[in-house]
Amino acid sequence: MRQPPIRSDGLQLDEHRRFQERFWKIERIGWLVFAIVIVAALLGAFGAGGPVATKVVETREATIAHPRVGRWESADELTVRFKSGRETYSVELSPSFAETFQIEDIQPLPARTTIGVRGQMLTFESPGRDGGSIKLHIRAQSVGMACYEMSVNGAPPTPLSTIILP
Amino acid sequence: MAQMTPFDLVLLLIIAETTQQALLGDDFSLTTATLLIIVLFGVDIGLSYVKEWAPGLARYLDGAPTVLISDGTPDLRAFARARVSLDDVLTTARQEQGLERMEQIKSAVLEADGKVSIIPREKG
Repeated sequence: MRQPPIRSDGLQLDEHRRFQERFWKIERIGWLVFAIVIVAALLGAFGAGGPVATKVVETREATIAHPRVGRWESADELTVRFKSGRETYSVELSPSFAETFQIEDIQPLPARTTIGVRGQMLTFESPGRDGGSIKLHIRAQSVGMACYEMSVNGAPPTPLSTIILP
Repeated sequence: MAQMTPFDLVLLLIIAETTQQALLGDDFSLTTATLLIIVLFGVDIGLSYVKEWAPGLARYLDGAPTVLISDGTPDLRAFARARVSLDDVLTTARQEQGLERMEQIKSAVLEADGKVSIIPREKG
């Protein structure tokens, strides 16, 4: 077994000052990374709220606010604000949406839900023809990039995507 | 670790709780718990062998001691970089060695485990 050297001050130890200097430098770089991660998390770069976490898409028929970044098995919201004054509003979600997200609740509940080749169609009634908004409470069931489409009131589908972190 | 403040203890408990959820999720079966304990012990034993075979790597895993006071002369850079104050050293000197003043300290070493060792000057 190798014995540590005896220093001029009488201490028998391996101080490895060069290693310590390098470690202290890396430690401080680590703290800087911590600070960057905290700021990015506050901005919403890792999902769960914050200005960056939600993406707003304007279409002819509605304003869609969907999560840009989400977390696996974590609750999120997808909001659709209707623009035109109709008696019936429809929201069609592509099959890929159901493959990734579990819909936990819809506020308000749709008057009718139908399924087809293009996915699931949610129909809402608005007798006052004064617009309104719906909120889908969703929970991601898989990790990675989720690409899906949403069509409002029969308009061409709008491609949407969410990065789901593990 | 040896110089743990109450906040350090709270931090440790919170980290343990957070890590436990990430490791186990909602699986509370005895099988998972047993497997996890075996894996963690296995990693610990494996690392102890790795450290024996590669002492250079041991420095990265365990850290290295830092001499804070050598022959009565404080290394101010080491104090600053290691975030240790002279008060910390004097407190340890009082508690561990019953020393009253700085002049009575020959050497002080911040050990890899975070404890400060004090070597007093020889009397006479």
